[in-house]
Amino acid sequence: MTIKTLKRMNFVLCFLIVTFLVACTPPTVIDINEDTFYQLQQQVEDIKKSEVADAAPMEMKFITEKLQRAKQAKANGDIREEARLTQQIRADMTIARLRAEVNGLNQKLLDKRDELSAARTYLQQLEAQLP
Amino acid sequence: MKKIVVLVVLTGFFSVLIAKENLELESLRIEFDNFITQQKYKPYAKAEKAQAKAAIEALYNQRGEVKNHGVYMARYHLTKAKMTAESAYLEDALKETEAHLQTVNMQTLKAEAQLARMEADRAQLLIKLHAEEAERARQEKQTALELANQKASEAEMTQAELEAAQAYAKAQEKVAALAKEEADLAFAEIEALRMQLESLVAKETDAGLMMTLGDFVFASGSANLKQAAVDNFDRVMQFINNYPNRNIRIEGHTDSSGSEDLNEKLSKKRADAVKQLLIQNGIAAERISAIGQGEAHPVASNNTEAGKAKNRRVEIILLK
Repeated sequence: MTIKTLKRMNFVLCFLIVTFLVACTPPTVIDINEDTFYQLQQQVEDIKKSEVADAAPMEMKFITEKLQRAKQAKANGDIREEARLTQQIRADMTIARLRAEVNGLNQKLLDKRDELSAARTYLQQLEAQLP
Repeated sequence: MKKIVVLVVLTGFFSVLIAKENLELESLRIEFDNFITQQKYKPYAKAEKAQAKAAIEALYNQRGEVKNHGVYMARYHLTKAKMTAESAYLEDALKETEAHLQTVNMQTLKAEAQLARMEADRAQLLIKLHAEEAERARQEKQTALELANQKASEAEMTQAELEAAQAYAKAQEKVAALAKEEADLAFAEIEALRMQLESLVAKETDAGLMMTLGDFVFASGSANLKQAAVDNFDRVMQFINNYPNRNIRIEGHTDSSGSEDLNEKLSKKRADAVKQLLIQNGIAAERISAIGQGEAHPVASNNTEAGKAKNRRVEIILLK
């Protein structure tokens, strides 16, 4: 292996590394501005006061933690991190709302099935009285 | 040589890193495949499923922090698709259950209506039975009342009839007693009359043979001869028949009671009555004359009842 060959390999290696790093450069996921965090903070406060907070406690925990991290990223001027966290928090809030909705629907369905079961029992009792 | 070693190490590191990221990606892919093959979620959340699929496939072109975030967001899309499907499924299940409940409720309403009709029919029947029972009781009571009234009436009637019969019997008894008494009296009177008539004797007078009939042969205050006198007139007829050739004068006399005119008329009527009796007994009417003398020729005092009785008389005179 000659020195020239080693130089070429070194170049190729550097090129690959640079290419890899460029490919891995995280683009801004969503557009955010100076007020995005505050709007997000208000949305989180609103959702904490709603019945969603009781229905999806795990998501609320993630949201709270990520909001702190977003605040820190904003303070650090890390826009990309703030944008990713903002997007994840919004996603978590959507999931929390969906979970609350599903939980509510589940409860409604259980109640309705109980009601149906009771109605069927009552109907059977009535039918037993019929000739 | 050292550079080659470094290159190999770096290649290994990146290979491990890529393998780890591919593992997470494959895990997501498997989870997604399992989700979309579930029959109950097939009709739901198609848009969300497409988003999740795109997000997962996009991960194959991502690396590093971007890929971490992409994995998170892909999982978010998958979770969102699952929960949206679950939500839609639950809504449908809720609607289906609600529909079943409505059906059962309708059947329940029908059954309740049928039972209510049965109850109503039974209640109506009971009311009818009670009404019939009440009517029967009322009729029985009415019948009993009528029977009681009838019995009471019959009892009253029986009592009344009994009392009437008793009264009638008493009256009849009285009548019978009176009749018997009257009969006895009549018999006694007849017997007395008969004895009086049989004991009549003729007396010779200037005008001829005279037989005097007391007023006992007449009803009181009347010119009618008593039947007993008529029936027992044989003695008189025997007296008259002993002298068939003599004419007969009959004179009626009264007491002084009443007016002279009335007494004269009464005496004439009594004389006529005796005349008619003689005629009925076969005496020729030509032989008989009847006159009323009234109170003009008393044979006793009119101041006493005995005298008055003697003055009330009819004299049958067989003229010479």
